[in-house]
Formats: sequence, C-alpha cells, structure tokens
Amino acid sequence: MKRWIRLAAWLYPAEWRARYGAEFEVFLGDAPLRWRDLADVMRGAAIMQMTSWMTYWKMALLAGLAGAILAGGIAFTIPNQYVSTAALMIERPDSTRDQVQRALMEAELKLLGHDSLIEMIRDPRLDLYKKELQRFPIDEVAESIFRKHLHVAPYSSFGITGQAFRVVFSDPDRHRAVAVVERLTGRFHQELYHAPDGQTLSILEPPILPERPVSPVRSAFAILGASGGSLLGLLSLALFRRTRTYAVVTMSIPKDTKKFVDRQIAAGQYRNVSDYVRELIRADEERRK
Amino acid sequence: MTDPNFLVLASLADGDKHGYAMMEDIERFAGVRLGPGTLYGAITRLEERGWIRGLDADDRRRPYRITGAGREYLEEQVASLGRVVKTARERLKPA
Repeated sequence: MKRWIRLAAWLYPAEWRARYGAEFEVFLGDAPLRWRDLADVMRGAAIMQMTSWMTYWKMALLAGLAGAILAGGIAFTIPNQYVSTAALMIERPDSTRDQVQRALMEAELKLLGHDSLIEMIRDPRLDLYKKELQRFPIDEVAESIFRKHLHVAPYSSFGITGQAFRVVFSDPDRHRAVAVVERLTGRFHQELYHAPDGQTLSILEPPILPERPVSPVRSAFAILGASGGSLLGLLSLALFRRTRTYAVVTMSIPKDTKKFVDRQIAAGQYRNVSDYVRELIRADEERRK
Repeated sequence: MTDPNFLVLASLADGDKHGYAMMEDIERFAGVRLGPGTLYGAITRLEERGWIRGLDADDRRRPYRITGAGREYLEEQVASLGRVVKTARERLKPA
C-alpha cells in the first residue's frame, strides 16, 4: 500500500515535489498509512495541480487532447458522405436563353418530382434508404431525406442556346451515389435528347465514382474539439482558482446606499460593488494596525 | 473544528513540529486524523500565506514554526470560536 501511495505522490506538480517531496517521502515512511490515504494523496495532488501556474499549460494540453479525442470520436459516429456528379449540356438551336432554361426546368420538375423519387427509392437495384424506410413513411423519406441530398445545379452557359448543368447526389455509400447519378443522367438523356426544335443533350462529364468522402472532415472536428477543450479547461481552472482565493459573500444593503455606491462606481473610483467593499475593508485593516 | 489549517496552526502554537509529529499531535488533541494529502495541503497553504515557515532540517524531517501573522490569525479564530462556544453553552443551560 505504501508503494502505491508513494507512486501517487508523483502526481503532485514538479515544483511542489521540489519543495516538499523529500520530507513528504519521509513522512510517508514514518506515518502508519491506510488505504484511504491513497485517495487522500490523490485528492491532494489534484488540488495542488489545480493551483500550480504550470497547470495552465498542462490543463490546456490535457483538456485540448480530451476535446480532440471526444470530437474525433463523435466525427467517427457520423457516416461518410460521398458525392457523385455528372455534367450535362442541353442545346437548342434557334431558341432564346429563356426557352432553353424553361425546357431544363420542365425536365427537372419531372425527373426530380415526387413520383420519380418514390420510383427510385422503390427500385431494389438502387438499394436506397433501407434503414430510413423502417422508421419513416416513404413519402417523408423522399421529401425530407432523398431530396436534401439530390441537386441539379446550373454549371455554365454556352452562348445563348446552350446550358450546362450538374446532377449531384450524396450518400454514405459511394457506389449508391454514382448509381443514382447514372440513373438520373440516363433519364435526362431520355427526356431531353429527342425533343422538338433540334434540341440535343450531351454528357460533358460522365457520372463519377467518388474516391474519398467529402464529409465529415475529421481533422476539422479534432481541431475544433482541441480548441474548445483547451478553452473550457482554462476557464474551469480560472474559475476554480477564483473560488478558492475569494469567498463569496451575499450582502443586503438599503437601496439608497446602493445608489451611493453606484455613483462612486460611475465616477470611476471603483470597478464594481465588490471592489468598493474590498477597498473599505482594506482601509479598515490599515486603520486598525 | 476540523479545518486542517486551524488544526495545523493549533498544533504548532506550542512549538515547532515536523509533518508526522503534527499528525500525531492533532489526532491526540482533536481526535481528527489528517491524511497525508490533507496535512501537506494545509502546510503548503499556510506557508504560502506566511502563517508558518519551514525551518532548516537536520535530517529530511523538516520542522515548521508558526509566524507572528499565523499566531494572530489563530488568536482571532480562537476568539471567534470562543464566542460561539460561550453562546452555545449559555443556550444549553436549563432555564
């Protein structure tokens, strides 16, 4: 047991050990020790650690490390998101830009409409949202989950008769992500390729199988966790020190007296009520000496 | 009555003592056994406040001595405690 208590004594800050370590070692050798003294020494070491100046660095380091591990752990519980994209271009000779964009919008409304989304969710080859379908109705899965991860966004214009756009879909499974983009690319092709007025659709970039997830950015989580942890640790330590150094006294004083004190503070003589009372006590101490 | 700072000062009031001697003395006069961490926590705080000071040690058992400021603080505490004890005693007297 003495061996354990001696080991626990190493938990004290280095500067404390430099000052008291030798005599504490002798004390531990002389005194009849009990098991509960182990907890007492550990508690004493923790308090000394909290009151040592070096502790600010240690606390920042340890709390930062804890924050980084915690945030990193949380990041690992968030599923990866893979983004697959394809770029397409609709062209319509002898048409205005508005007409081109309207044709695209109509196709988009049809292909990304509720029925189309439901059809894709129901397609066993796409294998979409199995878990979610166990918890929510298919309509909700389509509108609240599927639609959130699916976008058709303008890419760039080609003169006034062409409009390029991207089909973007994100999913925790990279193969599923590309499968959905492939499906939509095919549908856009079907819908827009053989349209009237010589309209054509070309594929600028075929659907891409993503290699790496775009989120979560785990290093950012860890950095944020480390910064937050350090800050929280330092604040807790500062608060702990303050509560150990200062006793908190609750006072009741007449309102007129409070107004008088407020006037002194407003005049810039004191920072706050506590400062005022502390100064009075200091003056009284001086007078009594 | 179990405040370690008070007990250490009270122990040193009648002469210099090292850590283990204080522990035994406090257990004898107050019936309180201060654990090693608690005792040395109090010694550290009291030395920081200038209420006790460590003397040169012949061996590694460093004795401590109460300072003037420490004695003054102890007297204030004893007086304050005395008033409480007196009041309590008076109130306990049968009417």
